[in-house]
Amino acid sequence: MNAVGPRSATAPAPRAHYSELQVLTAQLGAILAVLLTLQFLSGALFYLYVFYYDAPPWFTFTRFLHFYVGIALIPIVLAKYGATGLRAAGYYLRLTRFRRLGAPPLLARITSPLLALDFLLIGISGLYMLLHVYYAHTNIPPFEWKPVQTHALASFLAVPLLGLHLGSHLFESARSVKARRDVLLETGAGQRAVYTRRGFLAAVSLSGVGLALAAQNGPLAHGQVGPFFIARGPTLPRDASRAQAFPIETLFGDREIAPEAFKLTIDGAVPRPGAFTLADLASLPLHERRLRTSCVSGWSSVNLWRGYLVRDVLALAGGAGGAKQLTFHSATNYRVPWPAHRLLDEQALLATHVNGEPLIQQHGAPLRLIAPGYPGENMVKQVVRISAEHAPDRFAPDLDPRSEAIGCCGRFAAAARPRGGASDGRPA
Amino acid sequence: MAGRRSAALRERRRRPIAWVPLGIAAGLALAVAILLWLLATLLLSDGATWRILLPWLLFLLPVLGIGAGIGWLVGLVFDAVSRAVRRA
Repeated sequence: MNAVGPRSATAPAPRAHYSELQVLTAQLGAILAVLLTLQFLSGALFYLYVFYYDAPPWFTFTRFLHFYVGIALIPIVLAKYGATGLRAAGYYLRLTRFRRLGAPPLLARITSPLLALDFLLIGISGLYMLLHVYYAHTNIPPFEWKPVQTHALASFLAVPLLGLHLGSHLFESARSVKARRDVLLETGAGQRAVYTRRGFLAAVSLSGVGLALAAQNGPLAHGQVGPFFIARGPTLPRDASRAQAFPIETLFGDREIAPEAFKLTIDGAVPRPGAFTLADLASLPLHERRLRTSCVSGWSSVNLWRGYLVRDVLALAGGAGGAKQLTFHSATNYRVPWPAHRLLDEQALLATHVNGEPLIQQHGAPLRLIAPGYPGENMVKQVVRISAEHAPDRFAPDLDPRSEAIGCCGRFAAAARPRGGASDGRPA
Repeated sequence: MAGRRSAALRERRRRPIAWVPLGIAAGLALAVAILLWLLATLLLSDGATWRILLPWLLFLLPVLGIGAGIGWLVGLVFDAVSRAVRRA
């Protein structure tokens, strides 16, 4: 790859000399710049609409764009790691060929390793979500960050890093590509090396496209935890009435639970741990909330939910006490840890009904968590156990924007109605 | 003195306009204006907090990149047109 083609002795000297490796790195950078533009743009829309505003119909497109471009990026990023890593290793191992190229600019030397680590984090957390590991183990060890938080934080960090990296590299890289092209045009030399590089670039790009396509129907699509996320949209329940004809995305499936056999276990750091039947819960006041569920996969739906306040249900076990975290377990072994303070207000419900009808199994009967301001994946269905813990999410940064930002959406109101803002708060 | 200045002015006018850098600069300026509009819109939405800046941050590079790219293409077109006109 680093081979420079034979140069004619009579050829005019190039204005600047760039190695094939430098040109390759610059070209990979150019491909990455285009794909990352798409990726950041779709990611920004994704984030804005899942966490702040309700998703409009065209939002689904950002999901496909983000997921497929993300997969296609894998070989290109790996090739970029290889090209820059080779040059760095050669330089620091004092290999003559690489020493001759000199060191990259200081800023690039600082930002490149940081960017490499950051993109590793973005890639791993993205795959973590994409391959449904998310749904089996919600947090990424060892820090127990939620993948979505990791993905978002690493992306925010990438903005200044990429800015610095591009600032220090962009013009020099463009010059290297242009100078190399000029030399080749003038001398006709280096054809073989160019074809090698072109072949490599084509192979890398094609493997990106291939990966994205393979993800659609390949073995990944039939993983043990369910259909590949991006391969299909949410399904609608087949036999549900119109009242419950909103999308279902239950990757762990659902279990048949006989109401008379149902028990909700509340344990951990509560004063009186125990198991409670639906009859026990029936003594609690019912509340109704009109809440929007927004799914990270791109759909949203407003529904009228009826059920018990999480706070009241916990009171059956003596209240949450000083618990910092409440982990909701589903009958299907899905679980989500929540910061306790987010669920102890007037909004969070353990719902039994939706739009005036008892919940069907696929929507989470007999009890389903529903709260405003979080993506739908946190709304655990068929809740059978609540564990209260004193230790909060160990290192989870609270990216939850549910605070005041969700109140109303001002100029966005016409296009996107606020989530959670319409709940009436009255007992039903 | 005045004659030398007007000669320099004439010389500058005769020099072709660098459309490509001009296009890139215009594209970047447009991108900055769009980003500022987006920032103002997000921040002025009722109840917005600083957290709304996070998604805005993600728009930063792509919008600037697209602005510069479009500006570059427009610059190339202008450059080609002006060359054709000059040749004619």
